[in-house]
Formats: sequence, C-alpha cells, structure tokens
Amino acid sequence: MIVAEHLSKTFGAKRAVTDVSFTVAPGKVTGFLGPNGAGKSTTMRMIVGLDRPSAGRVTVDGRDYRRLSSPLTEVGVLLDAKAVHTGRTARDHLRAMAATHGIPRTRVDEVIEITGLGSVAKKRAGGFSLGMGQRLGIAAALLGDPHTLILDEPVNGLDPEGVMWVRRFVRHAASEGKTVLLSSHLMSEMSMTADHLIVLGRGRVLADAPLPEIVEQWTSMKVTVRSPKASELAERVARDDVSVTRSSDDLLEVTGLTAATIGDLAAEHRIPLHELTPSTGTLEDAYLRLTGDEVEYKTKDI
Amino acid sequence: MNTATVQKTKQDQRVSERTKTSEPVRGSVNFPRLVRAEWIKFTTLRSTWWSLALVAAVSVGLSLLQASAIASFGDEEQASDAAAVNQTAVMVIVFATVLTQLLAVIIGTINVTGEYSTGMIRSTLTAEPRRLPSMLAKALVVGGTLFLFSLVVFALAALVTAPILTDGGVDLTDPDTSVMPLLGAALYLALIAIMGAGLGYIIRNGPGALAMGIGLVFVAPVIVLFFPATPDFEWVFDLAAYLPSNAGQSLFMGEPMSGTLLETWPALLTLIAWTAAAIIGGAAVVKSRDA
Repeated sequence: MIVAEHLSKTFGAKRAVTDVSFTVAPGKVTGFLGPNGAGKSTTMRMIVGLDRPSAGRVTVDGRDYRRLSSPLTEVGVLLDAKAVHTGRTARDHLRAMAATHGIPRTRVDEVIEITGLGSVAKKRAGGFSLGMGQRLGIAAALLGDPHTLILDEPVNGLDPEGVMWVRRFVRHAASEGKTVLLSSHLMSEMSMTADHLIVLGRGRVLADAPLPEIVEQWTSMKVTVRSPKASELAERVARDDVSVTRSSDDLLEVTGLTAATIGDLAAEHRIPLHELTPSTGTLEDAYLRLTGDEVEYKTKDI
Repeated sequence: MNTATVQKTKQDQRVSERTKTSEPVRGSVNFPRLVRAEWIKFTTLRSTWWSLALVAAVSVGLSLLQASAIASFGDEEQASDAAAVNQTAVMVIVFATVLTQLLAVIIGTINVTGEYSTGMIRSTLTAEPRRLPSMLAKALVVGGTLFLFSLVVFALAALVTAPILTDGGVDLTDPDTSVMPLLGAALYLALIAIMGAGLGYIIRNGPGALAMGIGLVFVAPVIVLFFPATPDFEWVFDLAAYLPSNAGQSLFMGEPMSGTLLETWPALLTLIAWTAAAIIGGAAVVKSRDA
C-alpha cells in the first residue's frame, strides 16, 4: 500500500507536483496516467526517496522509504531514465545490487532468466537497446521479490513479446496481492493493464477512480444509426439532452440515448433501421477530455 | 471452457512459473554488504583496471628512471648506514607519487561521478536510501584498494630498483626511514583518492570534480612556486604547507614541492582534515540534494 498525502514538489520556481494525495491499494494494478511533465516521474521518485517532497509525505506500507532497512525486498523500482552504469555488464550490475542486501547469486541468475536477459547478461549495459535496458531495469526491480512494484513506463521500448510479458507479469503480481503502480502514456496499454487509474495533469490529480468508471464518466455514449428515414428519426429522438448530428443522408450520430431507446422509438414510429451501433467511449477520449487544458507541451493543429 | 480461456490459463501458469522464486528472498542492508557491493562495482569496471595498471606502470617506471639517473651520476661517497641508504632508495620509490597522486584523485573522483553521469546513482540510492552508509562504503573501498595496491607497487619498485642503486635497495633494518615513509606514501594516495571521491559527491559533474581535485593537488602547489621567496611572501609558503600534496610530501619525502616543511603529525592531520572535509561536504550534499 502506497499512501501519498498532500505531496508537493517545486524545482526553483517551477511547481512539478502540487498537493497530490492518493492511495495505491494492494491486489490491483494502479495506473499513473498523464501527459509529459504531469509529475508522474517526480511523484514516483518521491515515493522511493530520490526526491525530497517540498511538502506533504508519502509512505510505503506505512513507512517512509528512506527508513526501510531492506528496501529491495519491499519495493521494486524501475525508473524511467536509465539507472545503470554503462560500463558494467548486466550480470555484474545485478550482482552489485543483490550484494547490498545479501541476496544470493542464484536469485541473480533467476531474474536474468525471468526477464530473458540470458544471452546479453555478460555484455556491457552501455550497448543495450532501449528494450534490453528496460528488461535489465525490471530484473533489478525483481531481485528482492518485493511485494510493492513501482514501474515508470515499463513497456517503453519493449518489443511486442516484452509488452505482453510485462502485462501478464503485473497482472499476475496484482493477483498475488502485491501493490503495483505503473505509469504509462500509452492509453491502449493502460486500458489493458490497469484496474484503477490516477490521472495527473500539471502536477495535480485530475481523476482517481476505477478505470471503467473514468471511461464512463468522461466519455459519452454515442450511437450510430443508419436509416432511409434518417430525417424523421432525427426529429423523433430530438430532446434537450440529446444531440444528433447528421453526417450523410441516411446516417445519424446520436449522443445521450441508448441504442435500445433509439431502436424502440424507431419501431414505435415504424421507421426502418439499417444499422444501430452503440459505441462506448475509449480511455483515450476520457483522457483527452480530462487533460485537455492540462497539457504542458501542446502541439499545434496542422 | 473455451479455447481462449484455456490459452489464457496456460499463459498465467507460465507467468507464475517464471516469476516464482525457488525460496523466499530475504536479506537486508548492512555495512559489510554495502562494502561488498561497492567492491563488486569497483572491480567490474574496466576503467578501474586501466587506472590501476597505469598507477603501477607510472610508479615503477619513474622509480627505474630515477634510480638509473642517480646511479649514473656515480657516488661521491659510500652511504654509511641504513638511514643514508634509505634516503636514496626510498626517495626513488615515493618520488613517483608526484604523478600517481593525480591518478589516485582521478580514480576516486570518477568512481563517484561515473555513477551520476550514467544514472547508476539512482539504483545505488534506492537500494540504500539512507545514503551515507553507501557513500562511506565506497570511500572505504576506494581508499583501502589504493592503500594496499600502492604498497604492492612500492614493493615491486623496491625490487626492481635495488640492483641499480650503487648503495643497494631499501634497508628494512631501520623502519623509521624505510617502512614508515612507504606506509605514509600509500596512506597519502589512499586519502587523496577518498578526497577525490568526496569532491565527486560535492560537484557530481566529472570534469568539474576532476578540475577541482587536480587543481588542489597538482596545480596549487606549483602556483606557490611563482611567489618570490622574500619575507613579504612568507605567509604564502606557511599556508601552502597545508595543501594536500605539500602535506603529503612533508609526511613521506621530507621535502614538500612548495611551502614550509611540516612535522609528521601536523602533516598527517592536515591530510586527514582535507579528506574529512571532502567527505563531510559530500555527505551534506548527498543527504540534502535530490538524486
């Protein structure tokens, strides 16, 4: 369990994180979602004691990370930026990390095997691809078999097999009752991996709810209807809280009514329907609406 | 159960097999373990071996050159006792520290700044979030290695120079003029390597920390030489005695490059003070600044 209470972090005049509070519960995968510069990495760095909060506090299982006597066996950390000496081999890096906690060498071999690093374990990390570096970071996070995992952009740079592996791995860890916090800017990844979402924008929590709830709350149900009598149907369904757009002669997009209601209405008025397709919003839609004004680095429309 | 579910269950089983540990992983941080980890880190970088090989080559090479130079001058008079023999034999060996002190500073410094430039420091500090113990473990590994390695190199230099010197090699019957200066020189190299590590923690940036370390150890005593030796500038020489390399040379050569000569204890304390200042400064920075 990770508990953040009123966390703030300023770098000079820049406010990276402002009054952020949240709880990451065990037994599920919690996703940290937000645009670049939203404060995800800074918050994660504060959790593991690399950055000192300007205000507020954060604990892991009730304790300050900086006071843990065995951090690697309690918390596994993968940070966004590389955290490995480029001149050292993967295996030596893991050996040195393991040695700090007296973790046996057999475990080093184990995490090398688990993360599929076997063939490059004796190569220096400086020559690693992004994906291999990522696997090494994950291997280091697993060394102590910790019950809390904090993974910053774990699938960044991984090949499809690696992405699948991380997805299964975090799902499995959560099913074992572990606390998993992972960040990603890939929404498709989040929607497949996370149970619960904490959405950050410009250093503030914009939403903190189960994933389906966020999608439901921040997107609207849209129904695509095709009918030869589209104009008549448009009149029938028109209400204050319903919006209808007519994209071509026989095609309507209705927001604010369920497909069932529209179908019933049509039957009632003997309007033939050629298509009735409900579409729920996606996490992407929800995300864009949530963070619309909170994006720090905005691109210009082309 | 349809095929998809079967597939999924199979996958889940594979994951559980692959992530499961054979036995629960236990362990906690303590100082000997941190020293071991720092030792692994120190010995698994090629730069360490290159620098140590360079220390050995420069040290033995300079000792040989110096010994040959002295031998070729011919002897005015035969040395009468062990102390007189050692004055030449030991000087020939420790003279090389004029250059190897630079390598000692560099070894200490890059061991720290290399962690910052590569991001390794984040791994180090998440494994040991109290920070100071890991820093002290690193200082111990760097200093300890330099001390023992220097002794080995000095022994090697003593062996190869002995046949060249007309009065013979180091005479151990008088430890005050043989063993003590050699121990002093090894301790000096160990302490300034630790000082280099301390500067690394303070400045973090490799080139910056190296400039600072080399400036202090190598450049500052040379600058002092440009001052005229008049009573007006006596204070410069008195002060220069407390520069790390001058204090070190007072300790084991009996003659500093610049500045007045210090007695053994003030010289030793001066060196310890420089090292302690760099480490305490580094500790303050490491503890307070974000990594």
